[in-house]
Order: sequence, then C-alpha cells, then structure tokens
Amino acid sequence: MEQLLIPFHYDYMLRAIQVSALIGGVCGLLSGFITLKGWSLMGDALSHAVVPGVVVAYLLGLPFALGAFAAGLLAAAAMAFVKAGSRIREDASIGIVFTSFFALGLLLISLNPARVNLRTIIFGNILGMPDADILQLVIISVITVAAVALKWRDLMLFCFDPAQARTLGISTGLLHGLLFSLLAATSVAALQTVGALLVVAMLITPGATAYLLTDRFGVMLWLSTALGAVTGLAGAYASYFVNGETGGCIVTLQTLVFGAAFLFAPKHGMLAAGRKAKRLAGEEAVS
Amino acid sequence: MNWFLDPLQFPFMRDAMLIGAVVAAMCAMLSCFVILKGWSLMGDAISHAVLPGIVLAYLAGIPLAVGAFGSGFTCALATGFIRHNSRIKEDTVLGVVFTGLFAIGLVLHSRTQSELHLDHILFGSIFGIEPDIFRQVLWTGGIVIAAMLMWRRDLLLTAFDPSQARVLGLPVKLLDYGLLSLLVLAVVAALQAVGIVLVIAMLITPGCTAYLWTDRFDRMMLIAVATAVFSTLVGIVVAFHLDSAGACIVLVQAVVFVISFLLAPKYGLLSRKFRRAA
Repeated sequence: MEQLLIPFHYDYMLRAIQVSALIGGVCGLLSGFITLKGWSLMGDALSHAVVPGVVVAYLLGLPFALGAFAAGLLAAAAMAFVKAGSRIREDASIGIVFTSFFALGLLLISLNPARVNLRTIIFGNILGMPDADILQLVIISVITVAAVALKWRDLMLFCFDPAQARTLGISTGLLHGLLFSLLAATSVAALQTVGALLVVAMLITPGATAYLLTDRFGVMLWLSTALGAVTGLAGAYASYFVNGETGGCIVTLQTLVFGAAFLFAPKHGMLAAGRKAKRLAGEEAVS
Repeated sequence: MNWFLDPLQFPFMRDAMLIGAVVAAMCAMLSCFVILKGWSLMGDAISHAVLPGIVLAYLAGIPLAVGAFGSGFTCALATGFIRHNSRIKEDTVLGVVFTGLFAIGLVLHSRTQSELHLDHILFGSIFGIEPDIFRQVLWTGGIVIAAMLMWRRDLLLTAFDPSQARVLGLPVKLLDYGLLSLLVLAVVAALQAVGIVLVIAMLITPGCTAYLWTDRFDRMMLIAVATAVFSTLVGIVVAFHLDSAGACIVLVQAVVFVISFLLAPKYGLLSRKFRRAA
C-alpha cells in the first residue's frame, strides 16, 4: 500500500499526473469531433507541422504556443494551396506539407542542439515542465473547453452533416476554422505532454473508444473526455512504476482500453455483434 | 565546386550515397502507387508501427528487419480486422492501431537496457551503416525494385480501376497484399537511411512531383525515381556540411516539389494561370 502512494510524494510526479489528466481530458473532448469528421491524418499532420514553430519560438524566447499556432496555420494554408493549385489528392498534399515542416523543424533543432532539446519535442517533457509552460497549457485548455461548451451543437452538426448545417444558415467555413484552431492549440498542448509522435493518439483513441460505447453524441463527448482524463492520470501514474516514457505509457493504456471496448462493448463490440449475428441466424433457421 | 565534390573522398560518404540512392529509387517507385491509391496514411502508419517489432527482434536476437516486417504487417492486418468488425472509420482505426503499436514500442524500448539507439531508428544513421545492414538494404532494395518492375502493369490496373482488374481476372486482393508487403519491406529498408519519422516523405513526395509532370505512368515512375535519387544525393552532401541527413533529404525533395508545383509544363501553377489568361 505504501508503495502505491510513492508517486504522490514527489512534486514533479503530482504535477505530471495532474497535467496529463488535464490534457488527456481536453484532447479526449476534441477527439469526439475528430473521429466523426475523419480528421485523423489532419491531427497527425498538425502535430508534426507545429514543430518548426515551437523551435523558432524557443530560439526567440516567445511563448511556444504562439510559434506552434503560427506554424500550424501556415501548414494548413500550404495544404489548402497545394490541393487547390494542383491535381494532387488531399491526403498526399497533407503528407507532403507536414513532412516538409517536420523535417525543417528537425533541421532547426540539429543546428541549435544547445538551445532546443530534441527529446523534449519528440517525447514531451511532462516531468520537467517549467511553470510558464504549464500556465500556457491551462490557458489553452480553458479556451478549448469554453469554445466547445458554447458551440458544441453547431460543431456536431458540422461533423455529421455539413450540408444540413449550411441550409440552416450556419457558417461552415467559420466552424471549420474553429475546429482547426482548437485542434492546432490542443496538439501543441499534447506535444508538451506526450511528444510530437504520439499526439495523434490522444486526439483519436478516446473518441474512437467512446464511439463504440454509445449512440448519443452528448454522452460520447462526456465519455471521451473522461476516458482521456482517466488514462492520462493513470498512464502518468503507472509510468513511475514502469519506468518508461510517460507518453508511451498513456497511449499504451488508451490503446488497451480501446481494445477492451472493441471486444466487449455492449452493443457495438465484436462479441456483441457476433452474438447478434448468431441470434439472427437462429431466427432465420426457425422461420 | 569543392563544396560538393570534397565530401565524396570519404568512403562513408560514398556508402551513404549508394544506400541513399537505392532507398530513394525504391521508395520513389512505390510512391507512385501510394499516391494513386490514396495510401498516404497507410505509409505513415506502417512506418511507425515497425517500432515494437524492432525492439522485440532485438531482444529475441533475430534480425531486426524480420521483427519490423512482422509488426508492420500486423498493423495492416489489425486495421483491416477492426475495420470489418466495428463501425469506426478506416482512417481512425489506422490512427488508433499505429499509435498504439508505436507507444508499446516506446515503452518496450525504455524498459530494455539495450544498445539499440532509439535516435538511429527514429532519424536514421546513414553516415554510420554497418556492413551487414548495408548488404541487407541493398538486397531489400533490389527485391522490391525487381518486384515492382515485374508486376507494375497489374498493380497499376488494380490501383486505377479495381473492378476492371477483377473482370480481367487479376487477383486484386493478392496484389493489394503484395503491394502492402513491398511497402513494409521498403519502410524497413528506408528506416536505415532516413529513420521512421521521415520515411513517409520518401513514400509520397517523389510520386506527387512526378504526377505534376506527366500523364503516362511509366514516365511518372522514371521522373519520380530521378527526382528522388537526385534529391537524396544533394541532401546527403548538404547534410555532410550541416547535420541530420534525413531532414536534409526530405527538404531537398520538398524544394524540388515546390519548383515542379510552380513550373511543371502542363499541371504547374504558372502554366495553368497562363492558360486561363490566354
């Protein structure tokens, strides 16, 4: 029992657990929209594309969120430009732009090894995060939650049925921009927590898990938020014992939960679907 | 001139350039299919998913490439399985599976006190390739290139028009899995040169660049290979002077793409503008 409480005796562990839970929750909230919208590749792309912005911000001594946000917007503009200006498909345009941005970020890091730590960006820095960075994360989280709380119905309609949203007089362009900005902001926050390579998991897996557990969108959002927060908390806690990368632990845990939901979810799980198919087959045989 | 030629005196530079050129040619040929089939996310996913296989293979003492191939293929199969047995969209499933595998790989790696440098897996180590890996990459590259040349007609038809291919009696499913295997093999080999993180650029950008220059598939492949090999050689020389070979290669490829995007004769931005004005 004593053993299990050890992580809570360390300030840095306590903070890491709290921050992971917070970011996990916020990412979980957004992941509900992202899985419905089919923006997985976009999430992955953004989390890589913000890297040069973060590096430049560090070099200039600006808040990292600012640089990341600028790089994210620039990447989005470049993707839209390549797609509109040529006959290349959307997924390939996204791929070209984000890998180029990411490569630029890596080159910038390797040219300034003393001032930017590669490991911080690739694996996150949850155990040694300065207070200023935590403040930025809290601000990003508050803004994201507030925006979703105000606009979640419009965003939901936008994800499910953009045409319907348009006929109702909702500006889909604006919502697209809003969701994208929220995605960029949270991907920076998650980058700090789990690192650039695993951000996309935080932005997809809780939503996908929740989608297997319920048919109601409101419930799904609550569930994915809760899943994100709990796995963030438990993953960070477990990383103390496993002695592994915090980000890796959080995402491994999320994947395990997804696997359990995939198998055992009451209605949409694989076993339930198998039982249903068997029952149908039985009824057919009877009739 | 010396800036470009001097590095060539070093044997490790010549090795790097040979490996780089083979990897670039192989990936460029694959990239033509990847962009026609819309498999960008698949390439990205497989390149991340190989990590746990590499770590496990290291622990078990078998060749790393075998483990990488196993876990890369597991990613593709698991994605197909979950996709068919649940209501989640394919791109989301792919995202969940590959990040999950990658995270497991990271945890496994941090648990093992190994000589396996994560940096080398993530970012490549083209300037310090060991002799047996060197041969392995050459072999893999040769096999993949030969397979693509042999089956390019069939693969092309299944990419463009699967139903037509089925009518003609081609084993579409088998060809898809074949292409997938080639993709996994290529990722495993390319890993040595540019690392997990940037392999995906080698598997997308050359094909896109070539796609802007021509409508004929054979020419597209040729152009893709030519631009990729050129970018890789230039990138390696630049990296000799700066740092991080993977990033330099990808950035040179990006520059070639941007130039093509603007200036390509038929599908470039300028010629399109020009035609509209005329």
